Amino acid sequence: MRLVPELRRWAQEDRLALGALIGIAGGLLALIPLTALSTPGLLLFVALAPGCALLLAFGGPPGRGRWVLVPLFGGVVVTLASTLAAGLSLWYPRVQLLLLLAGCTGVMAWAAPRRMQNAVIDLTGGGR
Amino acid sequence: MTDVAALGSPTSELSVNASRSKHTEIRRRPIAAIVALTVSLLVWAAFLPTMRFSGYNEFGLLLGVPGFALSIALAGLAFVLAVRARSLKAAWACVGGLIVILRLTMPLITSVPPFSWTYKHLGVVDWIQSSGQLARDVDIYNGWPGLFASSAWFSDVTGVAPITLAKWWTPVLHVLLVGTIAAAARWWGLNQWQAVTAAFLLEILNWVSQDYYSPQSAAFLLAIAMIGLAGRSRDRGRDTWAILLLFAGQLVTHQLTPVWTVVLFGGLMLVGRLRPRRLPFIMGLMLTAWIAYNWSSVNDFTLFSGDVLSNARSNVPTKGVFGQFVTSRVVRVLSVGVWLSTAATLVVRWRRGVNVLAPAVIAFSPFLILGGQSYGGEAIFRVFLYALPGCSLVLAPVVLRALQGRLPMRVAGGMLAVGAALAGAQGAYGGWYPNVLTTEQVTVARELLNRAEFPSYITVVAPVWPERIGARYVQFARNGFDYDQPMVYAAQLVGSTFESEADYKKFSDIVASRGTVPTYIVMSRQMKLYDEYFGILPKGALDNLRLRMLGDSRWTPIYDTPDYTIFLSNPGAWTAPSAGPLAPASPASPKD
Repeated sequence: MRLVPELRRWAQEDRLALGALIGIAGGLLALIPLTALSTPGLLLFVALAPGCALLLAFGGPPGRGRWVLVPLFGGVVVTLASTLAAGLSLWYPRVQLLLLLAGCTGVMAWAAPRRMQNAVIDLTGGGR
Repeated sequence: MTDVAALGSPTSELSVNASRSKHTEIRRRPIAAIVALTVSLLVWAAFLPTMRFSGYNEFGLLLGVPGFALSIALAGLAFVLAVRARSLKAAWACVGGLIVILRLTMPLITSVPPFSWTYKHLGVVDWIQSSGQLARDVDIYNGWPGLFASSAWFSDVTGVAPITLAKWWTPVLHVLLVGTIAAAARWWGLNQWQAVTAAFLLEILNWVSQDYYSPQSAAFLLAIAMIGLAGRSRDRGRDTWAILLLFAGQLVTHQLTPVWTVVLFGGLMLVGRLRPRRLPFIMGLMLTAWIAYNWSSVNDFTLFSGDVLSNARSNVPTKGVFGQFVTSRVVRVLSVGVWLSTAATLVVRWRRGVNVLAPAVIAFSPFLILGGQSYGGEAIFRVFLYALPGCSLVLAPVVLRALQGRLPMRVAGGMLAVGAALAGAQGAYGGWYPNVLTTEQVTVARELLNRAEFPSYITVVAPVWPERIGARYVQFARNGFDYDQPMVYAAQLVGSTFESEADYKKFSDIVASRGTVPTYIVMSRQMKLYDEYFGILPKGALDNLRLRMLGDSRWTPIYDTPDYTIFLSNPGAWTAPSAGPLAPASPASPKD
């Protein structure tokens, strides 16, 4: 019964963990277009996953308005990667996508667990 | 609504006054705001079909479809009422409503993206998608390909067509713009109310129309994010890397914006409002390295010109129709009003002992551009655009105080806010009809570029046409950079009526000077509107030229519809002109 308020409180208190979850969800959805193009899930990935990963990498407490950086970082990472690929004539978008996913997963694996763990503890009422 | 009490931020350099108005603590239900916003959206929705099919009006879409103007005024009024009722959610809803009305209108009433420059950008995307590389020897776009490469990547992976991306670019960009300016406001110490007011101001005052699918629009968004991060850089050293990452993305995307960004950060460093202080030097080194890497692209342009007056002139030297004159005056008054009120606010704060150097740097550093570049006559427009985030941040607390003050102040503030929203919209939509393109024009432009024999000239008589729309433009551009320079510029025919034989001879001599290389000449109904609107060609000029060409055996009309006509020169029918001053003039600048 208290799940929704708990989720809401958690989302307010630990936005980075929420960002990680969204990023992972976006990343998983992004796997779909590897076999079928034109999937809206990829939009989520492109906008969120790399940004979430970088956001996690920066760490620290969630600042006011930090959520805005998520799509911007995501866009910049894609911009730099694609510019480099075109500049070096190594234009393999799906390979870039896989590399990007691998990179995001790696960064999340490095940065996320403690926050996720804390969030889960909070969610289940432990540690209080 | 629980954060109403947070009004006023005593420590902020941007806040006008720490003392709270006695009205601050009073909360009301935002019923009037919700009603006004709902009515505005209903009016807007009701008039959308009219906007889509409305005929040409030289005063633009607001007077062409008064329901559109009414919906903007109501949405502006709704924001005023929401602020008065102290409902943060309602205020944000009004900002969202303004984005819907002001920016979502564009993709909803057009079949293809407006503004011919969009298609030059799409041509680069198409080139990257088809070749997987950059054509850095062709144009300046390929030297700053960030947006084009990321769009090509996005399109390749998702299957979303670049033209679809371009069509919906503007509303998505504005959502990010208002979110980013609000975050920046918070990072510079403003409270939530001042942040939403800054977002409101940025949204209504942005008349410059640099929000279409373009590198500058993406770079502008990143600049606001960097300004925001600079606001908390003193407390958070780790943000240095975030700023540098965003700057790297901006650096590979646009030519001018990173220059301003470096100047801005240099200014913040000088006034002691930036940590670490070495940041502008690192950014400067990155900028220098990137320009050096692209030196072959930029050394054709004037990199530095100290003639401030000349740099400040706009790129519309001709005298247009009365509607264009009115719109031009409206945006001048709006721009000067914004600058003066920002300056006055800073002076008042300074006299109260507040250190206003950092806000002054953010708001007025763009003026330094005029000391070094005309940017093809666009510098003055970019100055206003770049100044807008700083002005919005400075003015937000003042506007908020006015809207939440006593009755006379509220009324005056409300009228000014609604008036500014209408003036900004007039600036954005005053030239709407000349800039709209049709699906048919885009289709035939693509077909022409793809099927034209090579080498050849694919030349419009005058702006505006979706040029360089596909990857094949690279092949043509490599053969002759001016293969598509508009004839009115190549033959110096601006203002010609084509009633006299002399005008037509100048036109024909250019074609004859091209020898056996065929020339395609494009003229369209949109061209008539655009050139008359800006005074490039008088009314009837293109009709006169078309009639002359139809009666000239050296030309064959290969397409002739009410929307456009395309002629192909007949090889061998031309003799070289006797005098030789008619070689094509200097190539048109593809800079943007």
